[in-house]
Amino acid sequence: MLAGAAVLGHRPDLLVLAAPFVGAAVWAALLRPTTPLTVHQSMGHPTLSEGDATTWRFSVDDPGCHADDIAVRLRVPEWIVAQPADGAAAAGLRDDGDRVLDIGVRATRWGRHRVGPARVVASSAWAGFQWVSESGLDARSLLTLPRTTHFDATAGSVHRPGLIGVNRSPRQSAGTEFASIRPFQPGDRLRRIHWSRSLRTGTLHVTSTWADHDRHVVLLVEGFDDIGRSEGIDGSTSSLDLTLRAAGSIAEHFLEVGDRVALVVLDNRGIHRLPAAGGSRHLRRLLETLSTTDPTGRLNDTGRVPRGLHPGALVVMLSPLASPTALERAVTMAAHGRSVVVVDCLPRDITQQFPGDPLAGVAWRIRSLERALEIERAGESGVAVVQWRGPGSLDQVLRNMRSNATERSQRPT
Amino acid sequence: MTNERDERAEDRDQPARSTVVLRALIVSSPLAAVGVTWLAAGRAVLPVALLVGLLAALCAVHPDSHFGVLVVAAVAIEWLAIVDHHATAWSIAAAAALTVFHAALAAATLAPETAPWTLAMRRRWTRRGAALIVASAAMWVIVVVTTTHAWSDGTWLFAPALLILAAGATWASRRATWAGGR
Repeated sequence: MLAGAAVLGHRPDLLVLAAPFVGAAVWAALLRPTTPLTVHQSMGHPTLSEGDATTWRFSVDDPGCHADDIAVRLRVPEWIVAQPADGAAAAGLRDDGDRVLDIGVRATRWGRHRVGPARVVASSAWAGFQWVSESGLDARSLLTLPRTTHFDATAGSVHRPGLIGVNRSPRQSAGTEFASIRPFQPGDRLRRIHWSRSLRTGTLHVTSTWADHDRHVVLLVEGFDDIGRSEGIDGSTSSLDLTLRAAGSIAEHFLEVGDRVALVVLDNRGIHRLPAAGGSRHLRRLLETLSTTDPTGRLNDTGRVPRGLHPGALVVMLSPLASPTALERAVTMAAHGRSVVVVDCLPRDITQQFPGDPLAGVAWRIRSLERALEIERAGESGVAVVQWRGPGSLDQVLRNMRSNATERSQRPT
Repeated sequence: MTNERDERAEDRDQPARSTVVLRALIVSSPLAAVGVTWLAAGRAVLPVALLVGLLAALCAVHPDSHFGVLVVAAVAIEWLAIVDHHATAWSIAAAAALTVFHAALAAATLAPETAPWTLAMRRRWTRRGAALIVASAAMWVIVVVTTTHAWSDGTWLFAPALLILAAGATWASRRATWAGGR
């Protein structure tokens, strides 16, 4: 336009003004791309723990070598932090190295997140021509597992039947760990006879052993409500954050020591069960099940005890105890002879989590007083309630339950 | 909770520093061209500056739009109207300002606002912009040479320019698209 005006108007100075535009146009046209690009995308790890990050990698195949710059915009949902910010990145295709663009993706909260789709735009010289990816760059699912903390329970196990695990039972029975040498009783195996002691004393003595103990733990997770403010792994925690992270930590601990752990998740979509098993793979399955907990369903808590709980299992119930129904369920289970420990997962600062709503703070203080009474009554019914404070929270409760069980087992029948 | 999430979203949507620089160049470079025009003419036309500033601001907000053409047209018309000296060296400065405007506008369409530019990209665009300014300076030399000789009535300059423009337009129209792109 400028050059035309210069020529037609006989104004050579306008040619000077037109020179950069003409130059850029000729430059762009000379380096016009003639072949379409191919973009490949890959994600480093489809499963992460809270706070972990992976890399979303875009690589571009430019057979004509005419694309200069590439820009990517990856759609990131809530609880996913991208680096660079907003999932947007740009790079030169040739002068920035190996035609690869990496975007860091960090998950800050448990759950299944849908990351993507991505849009890729490539530009030729002077942005004269642009190529936009139309399809093939689909969204991917990123499963984020609750972050577990190493749970350091040092208390011994509660008496339960079974003879497989690595825990020493409070009972003496067939096992591998030496307990004492005692006089022979009818029913003792002959291979247990301690011959030197028997010859010295003139009466038959046998070596007794502690029974090896298999602990069957059922984690009963209540995910009906998500109370409080969640800021992911880096900030304040909601009740469901606490519940799932505590459940993961407890499961990891029991599985590490060789126990079998079952999982029952109650949420507003129904009941999700994972049968009892052991090992690290089971921990992975368990965390995956936990991470799919969804409090946004339409079902309500009826207070019923889920069926199929192993009769001899130690039931660890994790709940914010927002309504009396949860403790009623625990009391019912205890009344049926099960060992029940309730882990209270209500955030300790719940009354301060609503600074803009003073009524909410007052309401939670009133509810806290009611909860204290309910917890006291549950304790009288034999249900231990412990507030989750991280590793070691259950130690005191497990010790008490073990001593009670030992007393019961030694009581003459 | 909603407020904090909004704040986090705002943090994520902060434009990159390179974007801020490009937007600043898009606004400032046409105003610089207007200023140079005033220096070349020895007088100022304020309404044009206001118009160019407004259009440049629109370009900064919508770099993908056609407001850039209006900005260049406004600067060129002002130059045409008030600058009488046809071989003034100020034309190089005006061309440099327009080059910066063109490059910044094109660069702003490359990537999302929040995408930071790499050092290599910045260097390449700066190098290429400088090359265009050098081309403008070369053009000015040609203009000076052809307009300061007695034999020059413009034919030696405008006839080849007209031919080059026609051939260039025909050639460029055949190469208007990227296969599979736009």
